[in-house]
Amino acid sequence: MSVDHWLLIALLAGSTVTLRLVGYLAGAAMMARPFWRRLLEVFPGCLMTALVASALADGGVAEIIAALAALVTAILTRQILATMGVGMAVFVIAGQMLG
Amino acid sequence: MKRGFLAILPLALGVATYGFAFGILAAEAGFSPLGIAAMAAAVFAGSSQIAAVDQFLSTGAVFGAALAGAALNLRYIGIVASVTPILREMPWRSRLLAMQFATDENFGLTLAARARDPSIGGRFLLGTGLTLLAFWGASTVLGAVVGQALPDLERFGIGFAFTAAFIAIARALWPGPAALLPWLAAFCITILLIKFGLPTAVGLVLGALGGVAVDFLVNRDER
Repeated sequence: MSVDHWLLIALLAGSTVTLRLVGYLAGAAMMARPFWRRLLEVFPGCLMTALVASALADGGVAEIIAALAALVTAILTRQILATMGVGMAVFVIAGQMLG
Repeated sequence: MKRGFLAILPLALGVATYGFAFGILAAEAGFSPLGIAAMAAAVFAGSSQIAAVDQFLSTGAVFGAALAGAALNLRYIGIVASVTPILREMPWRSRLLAMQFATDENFGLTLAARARDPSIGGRFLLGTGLTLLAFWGASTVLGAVVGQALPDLERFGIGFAFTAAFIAIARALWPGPAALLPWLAAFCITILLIKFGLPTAVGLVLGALGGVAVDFLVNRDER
């Protein structure tokens, strides 16, 4: 592991502990304000969607087909592992079929 | 504590399978088992660990990766705020522990159990948190050890594993039809920004903020 790996762990740990402390000290006050409440509710889902988009932006047709298969699996099963399994399997098969 | 342990067990098993997959991917990104264990205990926020390691693997940028993970963890403000009444009943040392190990899987379970039985409180929360920590830590380290031993994971579609995990997490976060337009906006804005050449981490945070802006425009009456 390089310095960058440890730095990433430290930054991620520091920011997460800070956010939990903010939640403990100021969370109740923030949740009482509609603007902050709504922002904290809506942002994580939008970010997750953006993460999927960022992965597909650099990908090809196999990624898009696998993403659709994974999406259908996620909607039907709500299981992370099943979604990962179907997505990865379709990705491999689609990659081979598309050459 | 024991009641918390038993109540969270089914969820902890699910977390472990997902932790195992994360460990394999983190090994792919160059993290050692010790580093993975340190991350599991110090961060203890699965989806942000996945997001950050994914960004680190694909872009190599530490600050961008940390930003993506931290942005995802904004929801912890709400999670910890919701269990603050329980935390205040505890001695400060276990209070800090329970705060650090409060996460997506156990805060809702604890609040639901307390609604049925008011005697449930900090020890239940702590029991669920420590159980999740044990399962998450052990499974991610196991995944890292296995991942280092297995060559050529690309053959099994490992390159798509993170994307599939994100889709599954998004499904778990889906709050209902009101999110459709904001999420579509976040998706499209992110793709456009990255296609126009913005760094991935910046593009996805701006894309997510774009989705929030659309939510504020179209779902005004819900605030």
